[in-house]
Formats: sequence, structure tokens, C-alpha cells
Amino acid sequence: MFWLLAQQTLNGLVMGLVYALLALGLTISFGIGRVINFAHGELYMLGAFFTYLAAGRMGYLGGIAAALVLMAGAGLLLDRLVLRPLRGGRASLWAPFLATLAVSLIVQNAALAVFGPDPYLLSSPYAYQPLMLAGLMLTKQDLLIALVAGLTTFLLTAFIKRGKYGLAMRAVARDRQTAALMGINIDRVYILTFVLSAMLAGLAGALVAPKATVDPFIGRMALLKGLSVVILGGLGNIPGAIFGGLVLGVAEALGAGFVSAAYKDAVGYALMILVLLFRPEGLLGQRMRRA
Amino acid sequence: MLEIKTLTVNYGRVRALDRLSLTVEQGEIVALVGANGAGKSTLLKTVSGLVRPAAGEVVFAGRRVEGLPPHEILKQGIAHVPEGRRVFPDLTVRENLLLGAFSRRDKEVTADIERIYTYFPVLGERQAQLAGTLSGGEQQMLAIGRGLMSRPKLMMLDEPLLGLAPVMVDRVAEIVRQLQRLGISVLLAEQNTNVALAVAQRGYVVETGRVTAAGNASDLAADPAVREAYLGAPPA
Repeated sequence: MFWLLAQQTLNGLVMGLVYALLALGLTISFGIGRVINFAHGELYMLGAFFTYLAAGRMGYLGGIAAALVLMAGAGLLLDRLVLRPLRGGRASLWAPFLATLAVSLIVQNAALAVFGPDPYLLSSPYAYQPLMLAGLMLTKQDLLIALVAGLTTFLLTAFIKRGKYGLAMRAVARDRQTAALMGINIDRVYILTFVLSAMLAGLAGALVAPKATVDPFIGRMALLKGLSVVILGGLGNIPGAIFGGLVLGVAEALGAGFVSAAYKDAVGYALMILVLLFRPEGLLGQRMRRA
Repeated sequence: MLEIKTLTVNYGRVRALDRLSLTVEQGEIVALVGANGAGKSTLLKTVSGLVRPAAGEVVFAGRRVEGLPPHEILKQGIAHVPEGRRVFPDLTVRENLLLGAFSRRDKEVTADIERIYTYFPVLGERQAQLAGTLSGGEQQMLAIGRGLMSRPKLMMLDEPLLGLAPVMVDRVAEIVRQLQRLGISVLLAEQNTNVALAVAQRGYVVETGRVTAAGNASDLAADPAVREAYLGAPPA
């Protein structure tokens, strides 16, 4: 009983770090870029496919690196081609939201045309190598996920807290007009935000792919997970995204271990509904205040 | 140093500025007085690049700057301290000052922050505190200090006295005079006409987007029409 609890908690923490990566990307595009990015799942899917394509020549880790470069390009294109034309001016607040929904459908169907509906296997040299850790089992891939996702989360948080452009991002999130008066090139902050967001989603996809399969529709579930975490943690809240990711990962793993693997997702959504009912500002969110 | 020529700004179909012209000379304090909605804020926002003019010119230090993005205009040496102070409430006092120096790449930023703390000791005492926890007067000092961090040649202050306690009004008025002693020209948009004209050397009265009176601050303060409209005093 205890071992199952400990084992499932460990599994849940690993998945939770991936959820945190997904949610961090969503939360910065919402908090700073003011967009609920419905194409975030497709960025995750692209990250997995790019890694798959590049891994053939460069190996799994090289494939991830190549995919991250491509994801930076994807984030840049998303901002320049889709979001920037809708910013300011007369476009409604709903326009960017609907535009990302359109991007999601276009990218999904383009991927379907290119790759077909059948699942691909992205092999990682670490996937089936078990490690024993104080009586608990995890694969080398899990360890890699935990290290890379944990380090990325740490570096991103440190950058936003201490970096010059991190400070600029926080200023733009709060008040973009005054941020402009500080001499911040707002356009550049938006590019940075969506490039980072796309890279985070792509990294999540690349890390998880060897534990599952890759097909053009894996982004749907990724978006749902990411949004659940963002709701759990509090919209636009960075520590909330990390904490929420871990909570969702562990809750799902415990649900799978103690109830049934079939109910894994249901446990996550039940948790989300409870949070919406009793703490709609999110686990780490602040109560709504009038500015 | 700042020359505004026949500047026109429209908000949709509403004309906010109508062929407005004014100048600010090197080292001068110029007051911009007039009622709420007269166009004072619009003028400052247009000069700093937040609002695009429909027509007219803004010339600063011999260069046309109208239509440039705000970060380019700041680099020319114009700092805009917006109405309502607009400090970043969930950032610390120090982070707010750092943001003021965002456009700078030199290594004297830290030294300048220390200098701001000598001008405004209360900011030094509260440097690690969130700006949202400061009083209105302290926030105004922070907003001005933050503006100074870009090392401007011209500082535009929008309603710096609004909502301040009387003792703070005197304090901020003294700070404006001190800016002049630092060699910074000041364009002061202020509804508190009494204080604004007492601090400034010259002034412009703005009504519905146009200049309706201009001249030496002391002459304007003595002008019966201005006194009646803005100083709450009957013509002497």
C-alpha cells in the first residue's frame, strides 16, 4: 500500500513537471500576451514531430535540440503572422482567441495531411531502462524528463524574476502603456513571450513522446491538461502553473493507481471542477481585487 | 528644445487636439493648464508616442519625433510621467526604478538609483517594498524618480499634484523646481493652476484642444479671465 502510494506519487511528479511546462507556456501567453492560446496543444504536437524527424539523423537528444530551434521559429511566426495584426487597433478581444483556434485546426489538419492518422513511435535510448531508487522504479526517460523539465522551470522562473527582459515581461503583463513609457520595446517582449511559450510546449512534447505515441491529434489532450493546470494554479500565475502541474500529475497518478487507470483523466477534471467551485482564483491565485 | 507645431489628434470622430502649437525652451518649466478633458494628457501622450497625431509636427532637439514608437522617443531624451503615477504596484520600488533605466546600457544605473535615494530618502528606506504599498505622495516621488532614471533632457509631468495632501503638494512642487536645477526642462500639465503657475516660468491655457492664452506664468496668473476660469477667484 505504502509502496504503491510512493511509486504513484513519484510517477505523478514526473508527469506533473511536464504539465508544468505546458502550463507555463500557456500562462505566459495569457499573462503577458493576453491570449488564451488554443493552438498550444499543436505546438506540443509539433515539438514531438520535429523531434521525431530530427532524431533519425541526430539521435534523440540532438532531435530535441533541433526541435527547440524550430519551435522558436513557430512561436515567432505565431506572433508575427497571427497575433500581431490583431493587437491594439479595432480588433476585438475575442479575435486573437479565435485566431489561435483557427491555427490549431489548420496545423492539426496539415499534420494529418503530412503524417497521416497512424501513430508514430519516437524511440529514446532511455525509454526502457529501469532504475531502482530506494525501492521505487522509474525509467531513465523519467529521470531525464524530471531533470530537463525541472531545470527549465527553474531557469524560466529565475529569468522572469531577475532578468532584464523578465522584468520587462512583468511590466508589460501589468500595464503595457506605462511599460512602453519605460522605453521597453513592447513588440520585442511579445515576440520573446511567444517564442518562449512555443519552446516550452515543444519541449514538453519532445520529452513525453517516447512514453507514448505521436500522432496529429495528441495536442488536444495536451491543451486540456495545460488549461486544467492553469485553472488549478490561477490564470497568469507562474508559481501556480508549476504547483498546479505537480498537483494534477500526482492526483492523476494516484487516481490511476488506487481507482483505475481508466479514471486517470476523470480524477484530474474532478479536481479542476472542485477548484473552480471552491477556489476559482486558483490554488495559488490571489482573491480578485479591484485595481 | 521642444517645438510642437499645429498638432492635431483625433480620437475616432472626436478632435482632441486642434492645430495646437507650443514650445519649451532649454531649462524652462512650462505649465499647461486647463480643465479636465481639455487635451493636456492627449498632448503629452502624443509627444511620448502613445498616441499618433493626425497632422502637425513634434520637433525635439532639432529632430522630428512624431509617429516614432515610445521607446524611440524616450531614447531622444523625453520622459513622460503619466497621470495617476502608474507605478507598477506588484513590483518593488527598486524594480520600478530599474525599469525607468530600461533603455540604458551603461554601468551607472546602480549609482543613479542611489542618487534617486538621496533625492527621495523614503524610496531608499522602502526599496524592497512593493510600490503598491506606498502612499500617493510616495508613489508620485517614485514615478518622478523612475522618469529620472532614463536621464531625460525633458520631463513631462501629467497631473503630479492630483489627489495629494496639501503638505505633499508643496513637496512635489519643490521637486519640480529641483528638476530645473538639475538642468532638466519640464512640461507640467496640471489642473492645480495656482501651484502650476507659481512653479513655472511660462504657461499655456488649453481649452478643447486649443491654446486660448499663453505667456509668462505670472502674467497668466494675474489675467482676470484666467483667474476667473481656473483660479476660483473673481476678477480683481
